[in-house]
Amino acid sequence: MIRRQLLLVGALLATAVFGLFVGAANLSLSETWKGLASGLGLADTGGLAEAVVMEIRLPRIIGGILVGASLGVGGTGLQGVYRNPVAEPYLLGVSAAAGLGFVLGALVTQIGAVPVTPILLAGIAGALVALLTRKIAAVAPTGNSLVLVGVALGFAFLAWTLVVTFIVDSPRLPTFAYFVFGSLGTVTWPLVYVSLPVIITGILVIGSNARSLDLMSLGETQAMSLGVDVTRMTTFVLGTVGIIVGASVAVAGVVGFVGLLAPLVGRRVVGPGHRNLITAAAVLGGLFVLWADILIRGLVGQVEVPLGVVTAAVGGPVLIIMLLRRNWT
Amino acid sequence: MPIDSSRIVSLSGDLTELVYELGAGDRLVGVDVTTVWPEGALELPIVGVGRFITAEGVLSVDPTLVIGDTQSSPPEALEQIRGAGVRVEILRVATSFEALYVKIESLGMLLDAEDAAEKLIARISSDIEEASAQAVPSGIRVAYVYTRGPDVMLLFGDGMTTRPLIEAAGAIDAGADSGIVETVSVTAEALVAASPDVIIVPEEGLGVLGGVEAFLETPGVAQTPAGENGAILAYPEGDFLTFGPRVGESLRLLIADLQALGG
Repeated sequence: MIRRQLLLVGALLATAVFGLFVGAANLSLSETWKGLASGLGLADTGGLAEAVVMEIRLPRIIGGILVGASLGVGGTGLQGVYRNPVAEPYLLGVSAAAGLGFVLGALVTQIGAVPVTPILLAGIAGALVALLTRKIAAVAPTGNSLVLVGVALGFAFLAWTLVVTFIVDSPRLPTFAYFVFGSLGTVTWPLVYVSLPVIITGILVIGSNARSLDLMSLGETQAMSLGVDVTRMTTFVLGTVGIIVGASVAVAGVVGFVGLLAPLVGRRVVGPGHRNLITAAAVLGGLFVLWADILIRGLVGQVEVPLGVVTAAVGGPVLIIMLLRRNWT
Repeated sequence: MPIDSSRIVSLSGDLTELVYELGAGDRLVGVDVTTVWPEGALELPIVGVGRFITAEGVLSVDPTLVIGDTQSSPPEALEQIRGAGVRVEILRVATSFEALYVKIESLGMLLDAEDAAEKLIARISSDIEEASAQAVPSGIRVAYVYTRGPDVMLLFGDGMTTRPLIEAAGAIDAGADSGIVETVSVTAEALVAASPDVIIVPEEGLGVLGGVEAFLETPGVAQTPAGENGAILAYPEGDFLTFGPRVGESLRLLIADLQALGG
């Protein structure tokens, strides 16, 4: 099991390094190396290559890993709590709620300032909706209505986000296309510094509930009889999922389906045990987002294809296949 | 610290034109996709679309100075470019002739070409004066309808570049006169309220629509005096939506066309 995990981490690191070499600036191999070396203080060449590698590509790659990891773990947490393999932050409306929180926070934040308030509001909104979905799903009749409720909430929050961006003509609002469809094109170091501790802590908190999540797969009653404080645990996990998804929305906007695909593949690689699954989903989410972004940067014409478009192009069909098979029930 | 303007990127077509007019065209190393003039600028690498720039696209041509305007976006990308140590200067989009002169002055300072800027301002203002001397106040109502195809149709009003041009041509801006601020989506109601005698559309959008005949089929257009008489004028988008060094020429053409229509 550890070997598989190490392989995944190795693949992620290799992808991250590869990503440093792809982009519109068309730097040669040696220019990129020199730029990286110079940026790390190992050489003193400076110039365009250093600026591109250190100020654009590196924060973009780290941002991509953070977004992928938080969405992957977010999906794993939601699926664990709801015992439903199509539960994920985007489909359950958590991402859209965080998006609305972020946009409202952006209204009161200076341009260029580190978006602390937007990240805070995104996290709070994400957490509240993750918890709200549980309340609604508890009174809803079947498992499938969870996703329907989530999709409905997602549309409603997206609509309100659009209402705000249409009526408030503020340069502080994130650029519509970048935000609603997701993009790593605007990741800067300050954004990485603020979101990194939030996401890492959140993943650790969810990871610390791994055993309880395992027991939850036996059913709520079983889990309770085995000593799991189900209410407390689900509140903790759902709230934390909302917070890390909120942080990911602050970094890259609304990106769907990563939380669906990362745990799906993760279960095949490391099995259903949550301790391994959470690590695997974090790494696989990072891999998925990095490859999607590398594709985007390689394809770049005059405007970049949004990240969420690429993840949805892959994730949508997978969701359909899962719904057709229904082999999770 | 003096500004290093040895390698310039322009993020808007009108800025490109002004940089050339100020004698700094040879220092341009990249332009955005809205640059259509002069021919020399069309040879330059395109770094992206001014309203959706990517930092890496702009940095790929290794600029020392990036000049954009208040429509350049997203702001985060501009921050990233600054973060890479490149100077970014943002000029206000001009929607009046006065604002155009202010913009040219600022640009002259950035490019260390104050004298050239002063001369350019004098030339443009005399162009505009000369052209408007031909205009006869006619009371004719002219509306500018921006279109990029059937999905995007906007009626322009106050606060847009089109108003000063239409008014300098001796006409009334039908959109602004019917109370429109900036733009509204074209609806039959808005068009009838504006009741234009002449409608101006961008040439590019008219091409996408499929020509004047297709435009006349847009709901509401046929019910306006302009639609009834087929009084539709088309000009290249850049000539009307941004004020550049050729604004006097655009005005002269508009006046001549309005007079040919019998206004």
